[in-house]
Amino acid sequence: MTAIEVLDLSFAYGEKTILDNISFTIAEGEYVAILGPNGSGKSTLLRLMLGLLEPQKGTILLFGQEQAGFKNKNWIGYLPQKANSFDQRFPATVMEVVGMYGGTEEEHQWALQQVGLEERRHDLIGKLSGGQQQRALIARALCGKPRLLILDEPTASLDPNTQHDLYQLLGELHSTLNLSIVLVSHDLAAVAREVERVICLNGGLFFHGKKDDFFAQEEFARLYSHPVSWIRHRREALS
Amino acid sequence: MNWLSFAFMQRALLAGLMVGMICPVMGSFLVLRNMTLIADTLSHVALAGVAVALLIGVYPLWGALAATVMAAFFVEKLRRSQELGGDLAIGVVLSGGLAVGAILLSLRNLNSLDLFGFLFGNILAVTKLDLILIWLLGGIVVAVVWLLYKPLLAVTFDEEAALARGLPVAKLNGVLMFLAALTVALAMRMVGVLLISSLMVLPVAVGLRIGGSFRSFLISATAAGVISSLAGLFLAATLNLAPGGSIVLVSLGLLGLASLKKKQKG
Repeated sequence: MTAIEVLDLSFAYGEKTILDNISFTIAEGEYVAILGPNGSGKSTLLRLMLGLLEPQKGTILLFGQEQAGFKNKNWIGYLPQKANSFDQRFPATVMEVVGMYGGTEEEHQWALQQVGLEERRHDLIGKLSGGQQQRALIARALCGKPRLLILDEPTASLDPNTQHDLYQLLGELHSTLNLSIVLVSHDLAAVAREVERVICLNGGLFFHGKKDDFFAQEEFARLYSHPVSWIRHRREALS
Repeated sequence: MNWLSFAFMQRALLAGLMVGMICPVMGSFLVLRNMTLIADTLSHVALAGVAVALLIGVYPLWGALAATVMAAFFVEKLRRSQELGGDLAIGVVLSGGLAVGAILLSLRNLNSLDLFGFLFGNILAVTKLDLILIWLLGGIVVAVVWLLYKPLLAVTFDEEAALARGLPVAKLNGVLMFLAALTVALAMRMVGVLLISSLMVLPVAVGLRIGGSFRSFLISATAAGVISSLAGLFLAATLNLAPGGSIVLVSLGLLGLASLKKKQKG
C-alpha cells in the first residue's frame, strides 16, 4: 500500500514558489529522507503532508485518502524540530508527555519500552538530555500505533553519539514495527547509512529514487550548488 | 477574628477562595505558552468595560465580562493574523483598552475611592450578585479545564504537533481565551485590574518551583493562589490595607519560600 502519494503539488509563499509541480510516492514500510539546501521546501513539504498547510495546487494522499479529509491522524506520528517544540521548563513528566494524546497506561509503558525510557518515566521532560527528549516524543507518537513517522531534523543539535543512537532506534522501529519513516535531514552521512530512498528538493523535485543511485552519481554535490564532502561513519567508531 | 462575623468579609473570603483557585489555573496555561501579557491586556480592557457599564448604568461586572470576552477573541484573531502577530497584537489591545477606560472613567467623574477600588481591589465591593457570579462562572472555568485537561496540556506543550495529531487547536485556543476573559473579569473586584496578572503569574511561579509533574504543578499553583488570596484578605481586613496589594505580597512571600526550598533541594 502507498503511505504517501504526492501528485502535481505546488506551493508558494507570496511570489516565491517553493514547490513546483512535484510528484512522488512513498510505499508503506519505506524509510525515506528528504534532503535539500535551506529554503528548498523540505519543511514546507512536511507541513503540507501533515495538513498544517493547504496545497495551492495538486493533491496529497495519505494511505489512499485525501489529506484534507484524512481522519486517522493517529496513524501519523510527527516530531517537530526539538528546538522549537516545547519550553524546556515545561513541568510535565515523561509519562504525562507520552500520554497527552490519550491511550491506556499499558500503551504508554509499551511505547516507553520501545524507546528505552521506562526508567525515566517519572522524570520531568526538561531534565532529560536532548536525545532522551526526542525518544520521549517518539514514544508519544508510538502510543497512537502509527503507520508512518514524520521527523523534521530529529538530530539537529545532538552530539554524534546521540545522533547515532537515535538513528539506531529509528532503524529498529522501522524494521520491527514495519513503520514507514520520512525524515528531513542535513546529515548526508546518516542518510547514506540509514535510509532506503531519497527525495531531494531544490525549487522542484531534484531527485527521487534509491539512495545508492543518488550518492553514486554524486547528485548531491549539484544539489547544494557547490562540491560537498561527506564521510561514511563506521558504526563501531561511534559506539 | 471579629471581622469574620461581617457578611461583607464572608463574601470576600468566599469570593477569594474561587478567585484564588481560577487565577493560577488559567495563569498556568498562559505562562507556559508565553502569553502572560494577555492577563494584563484583558484586565485593562475590563476597566474599559466597567467604565462603559457605569456610564450606561449597567451592573459593572457585566461590562467587564462583555469587554474581556470580546477583547479575548479580538486578541486571538489578531494573534493568528499575519499582519499583527504575538506581542504586538496584545500590546495594541492593551493600550486601546486602557485609553478607553481612562477617558470613560474621567467622563463619569468617579471619586478617587471608587477608582482606587477598581484599580487595586476592594473587599467591600463584593456584592451577593458578585459572589454568585464568581462561583457560577468560576465553577465553569474549573469544570472546562478539568474536562479538557489533556487536550489543553497537549496544545500548551506543542501546538504544531497537536494540530498535526488532529486536535482542534483553534477551538481549544478560543476556549482558553474565553476562560481567561471570564477569570480576569471575575477577579477584578477582588484584586483590582492592575494586580490581576500578578495573581495569575506568581502562584504559577511557585508551582513551577514545587511541581514534579504537570498535575502537581497545577495543584501547587492553585494551592498557592488560594493561600495568597485568603491570607491576603485576612491581612487587608486586619491592617486595613488594599486587598489586591496584600494578596500579591503574600504570593511573593510564598514564591520566596518556594525558591528557598528549591535551592535547599539543590
